[in-house]
Amino acid sequence: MAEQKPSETPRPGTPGPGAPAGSPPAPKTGPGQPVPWEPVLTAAFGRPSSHEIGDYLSRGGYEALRKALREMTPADVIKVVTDSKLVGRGGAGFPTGVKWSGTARNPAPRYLVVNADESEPGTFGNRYCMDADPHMLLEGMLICCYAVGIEQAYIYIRGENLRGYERLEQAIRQAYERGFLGRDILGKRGFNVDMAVTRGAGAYICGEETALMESLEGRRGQPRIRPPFPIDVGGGLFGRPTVVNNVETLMNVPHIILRGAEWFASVGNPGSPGPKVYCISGHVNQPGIYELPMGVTLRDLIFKYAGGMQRDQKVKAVSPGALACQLLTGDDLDVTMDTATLTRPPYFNKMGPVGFGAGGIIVYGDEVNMVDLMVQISGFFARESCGKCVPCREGTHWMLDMWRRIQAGRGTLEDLDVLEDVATRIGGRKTLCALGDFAAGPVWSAIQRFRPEFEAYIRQGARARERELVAAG
Amino acid sequence: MTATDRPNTVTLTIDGQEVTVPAGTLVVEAARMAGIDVPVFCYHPKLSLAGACRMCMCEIQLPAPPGQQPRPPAPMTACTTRAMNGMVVNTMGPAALTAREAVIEFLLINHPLDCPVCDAGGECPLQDNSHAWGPKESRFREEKRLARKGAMLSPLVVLDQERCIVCYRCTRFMAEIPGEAELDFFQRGYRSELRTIDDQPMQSRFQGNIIELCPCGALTSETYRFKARPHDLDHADSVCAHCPVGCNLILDSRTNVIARVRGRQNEAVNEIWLCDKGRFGHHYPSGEERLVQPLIRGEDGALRGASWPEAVGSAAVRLRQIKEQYGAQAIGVIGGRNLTNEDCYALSRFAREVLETPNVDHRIGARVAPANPLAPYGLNAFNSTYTDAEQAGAILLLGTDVYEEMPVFWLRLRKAVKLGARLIVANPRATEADRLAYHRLRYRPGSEMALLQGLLAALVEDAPASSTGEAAAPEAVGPAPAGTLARPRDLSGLRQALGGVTVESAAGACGVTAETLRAAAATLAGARQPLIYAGARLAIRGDAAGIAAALVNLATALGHRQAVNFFTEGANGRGAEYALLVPDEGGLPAGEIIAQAAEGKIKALYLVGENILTTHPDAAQARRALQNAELVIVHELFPTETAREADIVFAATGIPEKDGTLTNAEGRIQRVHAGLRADAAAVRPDWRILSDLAGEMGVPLGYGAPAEITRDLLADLPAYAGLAGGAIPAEGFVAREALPEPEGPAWAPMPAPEAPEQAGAAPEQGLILLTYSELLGDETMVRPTVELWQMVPEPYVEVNRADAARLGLSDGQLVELRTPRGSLQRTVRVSGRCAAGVCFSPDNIGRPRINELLDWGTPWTRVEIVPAPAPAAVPAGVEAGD
Repeated sequence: MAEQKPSETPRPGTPGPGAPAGSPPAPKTGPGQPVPWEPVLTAAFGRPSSHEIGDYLSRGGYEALRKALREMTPADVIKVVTDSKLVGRGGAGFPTGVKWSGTARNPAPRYLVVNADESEPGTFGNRYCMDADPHMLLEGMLICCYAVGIEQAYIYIRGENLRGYERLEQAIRQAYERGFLGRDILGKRGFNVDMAVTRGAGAYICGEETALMESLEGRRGQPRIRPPFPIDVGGGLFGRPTVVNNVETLMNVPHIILRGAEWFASVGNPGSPGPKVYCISGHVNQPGIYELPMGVTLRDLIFKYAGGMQRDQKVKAVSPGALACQLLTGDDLDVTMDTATLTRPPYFNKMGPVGFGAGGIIVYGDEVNMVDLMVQISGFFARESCGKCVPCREGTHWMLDMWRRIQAGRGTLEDLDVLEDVATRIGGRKTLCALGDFAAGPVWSAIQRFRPEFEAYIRQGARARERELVAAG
Repeated sequence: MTATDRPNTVTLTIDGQEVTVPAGTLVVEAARMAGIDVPVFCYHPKLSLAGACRMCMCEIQLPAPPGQQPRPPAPMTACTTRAMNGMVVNTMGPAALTAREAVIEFLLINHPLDCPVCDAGGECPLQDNSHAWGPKESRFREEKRLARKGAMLSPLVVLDQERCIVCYRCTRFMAEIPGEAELDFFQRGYRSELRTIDDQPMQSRFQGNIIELCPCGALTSETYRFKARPHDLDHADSVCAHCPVGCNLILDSRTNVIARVRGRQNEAVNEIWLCDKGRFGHHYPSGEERLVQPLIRGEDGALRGASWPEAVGSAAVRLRQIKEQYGAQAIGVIGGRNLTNEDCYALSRFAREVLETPNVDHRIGARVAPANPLAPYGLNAFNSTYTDAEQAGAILLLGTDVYEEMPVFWLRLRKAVKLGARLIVANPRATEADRLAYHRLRYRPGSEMALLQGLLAALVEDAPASSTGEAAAPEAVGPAPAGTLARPRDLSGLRQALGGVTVESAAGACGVTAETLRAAAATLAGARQPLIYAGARLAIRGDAAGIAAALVNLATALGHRQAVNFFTEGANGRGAEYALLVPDEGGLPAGEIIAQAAEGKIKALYLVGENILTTHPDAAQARRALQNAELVIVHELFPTETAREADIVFAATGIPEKDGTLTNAEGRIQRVHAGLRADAAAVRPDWRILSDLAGEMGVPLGYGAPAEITRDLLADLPAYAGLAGGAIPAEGFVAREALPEPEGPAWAPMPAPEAPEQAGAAPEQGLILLTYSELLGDETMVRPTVELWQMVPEPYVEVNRADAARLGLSDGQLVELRTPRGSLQRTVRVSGRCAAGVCFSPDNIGRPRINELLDWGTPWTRVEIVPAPAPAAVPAGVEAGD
């Protein structure tokens, strides 16, 4: 994906472990914020040894686990998480407490699977959070295991993310050494948890939770039929009830335990509250990671935090949740960036929700040629379609072929109609997993919103072809 | 009727029609029950769900949750959605139709549309669904994907990747039904391609099924490619002639040549599956070596062609001569296991009424006269049906390699294991069944008696010494069928019958540890409806009666006397048994007939479809028998070794050329219809040859058509009495002889187990040679199918690692096997499948056959294995046939 602009890794100045945090000073106040805001998920960014257990403990690490084990029953933990209104940060936005209680109701053995297969162009939050603070993830996992009654947890990490893998391996080793993993954790009789990290083999589809489990079980990574859902017997890992949570979701958990559900629910948009690690990339002056209360506006993100547009371009288009979401335009800058807003009308149409994804925002300035962009977007999904369902397997490639032909100047105006129609035949819940929708949404929305530009490009290409033909005699 | 009346059903509406179906039914099946066909590609009722093709999209409205508004109908796949009460399905809604049209358009953009040159054309679901549901035109203007074409996945199966619609039927079949995942999709997305693992040719013997499952012509049969169009084929419903399972099949022929064989659904027998021998091994009736006229040995000692009247006349004269000179006792008749019931019945009558000899048998190598060793206990040789295996909580396989002997029944056993049966595999050698075994009992060759008594001793140990009355039903293992019998708690009689045998003493004799014997016995005792399958060759051995007694005692102790089943050999071994092709009072079993012929006591051999030179367990003796007999008459399709030694050879027809019936191992009589028209001037069915000969000898059987014989045999043979003269139903009729309940002790007396020759005891005397037939041998019925022939393994001998090390043999090495009878060469396979001190070599692969090493006089043969001397002369050719 190196040729792909939107997927470029953050530019210098991007906050990351070992590098000074590039985030601008966090806002002290903000919409819907009763308390002074300070980052919690990225608080350790910039500390040289933030990934070491000693550093984590010095910051009050594993106190939430201690509190949960000493003062709370598993049901209490689930209640707090439910009350906090935490929803999954991986993109689907499912209420975490509901998932946990659903799994806990089903018979043991149960499993926890952490989806760390962050591999969509434009998303990189999990990577930096795991690099900087792996123990925060482990603590969140342990609290989940305690709440749901799980003794075995797996982290499925994107194969290319070697450093994350090494950090997690080290963190798990340290946690075992300090008694945070293994038997009778923190002296709690019968609270046993083992963890293992598994590396993916380079397939985007394995970020889809059922394909991830297939891969984890050693099979070809392809989505499973639901129901049964992962929380059900027969639907989860090795057929057992399984919690599949995103990295960021679990990293929120220790803070919810320590600070309480009310704190979490009061942060950001009350509809889907909490701190959020925004990844912003594209034609902004300061791309990077910004931990902000959920629900900041797109305009604030771009101009207040990310330093505005490069060369003062206008915002032409935005992928609000990385490539998988429908495109927004420069007219949508006042939308608040959260799951609740971006999945309801007017951000819900015949192709489904515009979507917020995992919060990877890619901003395209007006220097971007939309045809080139669509070749990139469709190319990504054509490459990454697992091939299990017909519409996605065949349709994604067909769309790519059409965009390429248009790009090469051999498009026709009818192609746009065909593209639009093909997109509606892939998207709209016609495939086993959401990848079909992901592939179709950007194409459909691009044609809705940028049709005149495409038409102009096609006409120009046709004129160029004519000139070639004339020249060729 | 509403769902509340029947709690296990749900009622939904499909296209305005109210349908009540069992809970859990998929919408696609519910629609089929209502007579509504929803198009599918990836869905197959025998396979797991894939949900991949999205062809079966329907508009489905889920019932409203209590107190809520119903959600609007949404397109959902009918093949992954289960019917619910109150669900409303519209299979023809506009969204469904658009989705289906889209799927077809998507599928065809990369499909080569080469229907005119595709074998599947005319019977292709992709073609049919495209016509029914697809768009008139495609909007695809790009270049089609190019992929592998004509790729051989094995000698039998050809892949055209460009045609493949990636429905995963083939990969699911291989992984789920035979459990041989030799295929998978590699790469991703639109580049997905079907490949074999490591690009090695597929080895499975069930791979032909994927050709039939393939919905788009991507997988085609190498033997059938470009041979015919479906509409040009004639069809005949028949039954497979290759093994005792009795798989139902369709013979598709063109210009009187079988072009291909397809599976025919019979849920009670083969479901829809066939093995590759049954599917591809159909070329032999048109084989080049086929006999096309009778042969008579002339004055010069050579066989020459003869007319039918001459051959029949000559046979009649010479048979009469023998009978007059030596008496009827001097004639031996062997055959029947590869004939139809009609042939068997005619042969049975011919032997008894015309030849008047008691020496009749169909069981090659039989040492004992009773064909059904369970008869003394009022039991048939096979007392269950194939489908009963699915209800069993435990299954004991004794001395049988089901995978090789009855491959499609092996698929049923796999299914049974999936349904919860625990498989106990008792065999001197590891078999495919070991892969699914719950217990593996690797006993010493010949020690079945000790093994069974060990199991019985473990059951006796377990039972309280003095309690009487019926035991409570044990904790269920596996699915619970109705009517499980209570188990006799009082095993004191059995304790007596066992004499002094203990688990430990039996363990010492059979080589299985006492712990394993106890564990296996506990599994059997704890299981509902256990079943026992014993190998066919156990029923013909010298100690068959004792084994039968022990098996009946075991079944009785488990509370289910009907649990015992003996397999059989040949396509119609059971039918031959039911047709009484078994020794009469004072008659000789097949093995003894040959032994006595070798000694000159039997003067005439009448062999029907039996090549005793390769199948009698002593080739030298069989050769002597053919030499010493004054008259040898053979019915054959091919000039086999035996036929070439005969005085008169009748050119017979094969099962694909015959109308009539076959009876499979479970006793199910099924109709066969001729798929080929035989030229009566050249070859004739066995029943007709026998009828003509009988007429010539003055005792006419009076048969002019097979239907007349069918009528007679159903009326006459006791096994078919249950049919009461009715027609044979489409799924066949399971025939059982009503045998009198035995009087006498509840527990059959058993001979004390003898410790068999200690396999490991005297390794310097050589290894004990174990032999039986593999499915695919270099046999005359296989040879004309070149592609199958290629898959026949190199002749081999399997040796344990320890023995290989001791003898200095390495895997793949050419060795010589020596016994006092002779020597022959094989390639060594070193493995752990045979125990130390035992070796195995199949008796239907390699020339000379392994029976050249065997001695009828000794039940077990020790064989010396040494590295082969310098590059040997070309091993005996394969021109000869079986």
